[in-house]
Amino acid sequence: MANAEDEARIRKLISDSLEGGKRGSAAFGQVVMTYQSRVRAYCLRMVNNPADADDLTQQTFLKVWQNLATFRGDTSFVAWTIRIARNLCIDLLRKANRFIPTDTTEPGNAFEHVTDGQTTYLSSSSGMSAAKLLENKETALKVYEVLDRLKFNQREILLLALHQGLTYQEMADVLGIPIGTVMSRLYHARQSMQAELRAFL
Amino acid sequence: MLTREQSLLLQKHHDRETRGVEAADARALLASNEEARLFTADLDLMRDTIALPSHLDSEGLSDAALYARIMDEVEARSALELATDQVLAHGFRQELDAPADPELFARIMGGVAELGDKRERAAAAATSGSDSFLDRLRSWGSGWAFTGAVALAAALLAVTLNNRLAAPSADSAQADPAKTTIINNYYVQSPRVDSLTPTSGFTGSVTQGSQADDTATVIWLQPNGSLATAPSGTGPTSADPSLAGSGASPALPVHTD
Repeated sequence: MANAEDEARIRKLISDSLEGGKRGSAAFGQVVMTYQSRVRAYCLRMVNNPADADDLTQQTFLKVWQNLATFRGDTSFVAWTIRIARNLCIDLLRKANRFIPTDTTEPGNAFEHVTDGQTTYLSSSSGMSAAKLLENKETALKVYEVLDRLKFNQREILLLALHQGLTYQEMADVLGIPIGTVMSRLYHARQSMQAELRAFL
Repeated sequence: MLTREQSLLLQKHHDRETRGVEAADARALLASNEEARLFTADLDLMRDTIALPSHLDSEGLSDAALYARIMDEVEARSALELATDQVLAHGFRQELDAPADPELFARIMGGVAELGDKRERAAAAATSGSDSFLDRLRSWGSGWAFTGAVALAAALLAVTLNNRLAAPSADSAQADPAKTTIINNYYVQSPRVDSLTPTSGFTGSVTQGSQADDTATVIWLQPNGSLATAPSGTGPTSADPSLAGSGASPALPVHTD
């Protein structure tokens, strides 16, 4: 979820980007820099393959660049960008026969903790109070494992909500579904997570 | 039977995103309304409302005990939900906070530059309606100008052109006009930058696209992954295509976002 100040800054950069030329390219470079890690992390979570995630991230920004003039601003820029990334991820998963859209888990999506040598995903350094859970790496790994085992649409909605921090409206925009469906899908995703985790925790 | 208000209250209680009341508030409201009877009156509805586990309604508990179990369940579930969210959010945050990969950034911007090239060429061709060698040369030049846009002028920034091409350093790399290059861990998109170091700047030649009124902003990726830009500089005083020179270090006056 972008705050108003961030969104205004990004829209200014988009406006500058559309001017083209040196200034436009420099502005778009800043747009890329702002969202590169976020988009790549999303792609990585979607496809579980670092090399694919890199390619998808590049493709996403190229599509963003190509279609920048069509961004109407009726949703946030990050939601618009993530929607592009999502479509590309799903295309890739389809080609690899790894995408089954609704009520099943992806075949072959058994837990494999993602690591690409660039990012440390798990750490116990946080001072979060919720729980000593966070101090337990095994528990955190279990949470990721359960996440990876969720049905595709449940995992996806959790990624959008917790990973990307999108609002309900932004999630509805990304997925092209009503906001009520977002809420119920998120609710059921959490239920599934908790049901799986209950035995472990 | 739960009232609509109570039902909604429980739903809110279970939806962290929209929760408007805390557990204590829910408990107080329910307790004020003959809570035990309330919870046993319609377990099906309760099950629908808070997904009550089936074992809770089959153990022959007293109403009060059942109520206590239900509230324990509600609170435990809330804690679990919160913990789950926080574990995920914690791990995710590390992913999101990871520094951007310079090579991937260079790849992306290289692709953007190529697209810009094609766009410029197509626009030039459409405008001219002809395909003479001269037209193609012009459109190429126009496209190239875009290509160099981000840091055409790593070579133009604060440049004092001196018609002298300094010898490239041992670890230098020649940048293709249409591609981005990483030199000494700096992202560079410039036609002819032979070497670049944080302390001594860059050396190289500007062979195309130089215009007297060129100004440029240098933008590059620092080794720590953050983006840095430098103030605009002024290009050469002529469009001599053979100009060569050296420039100030782009690492000196920086603004980091």
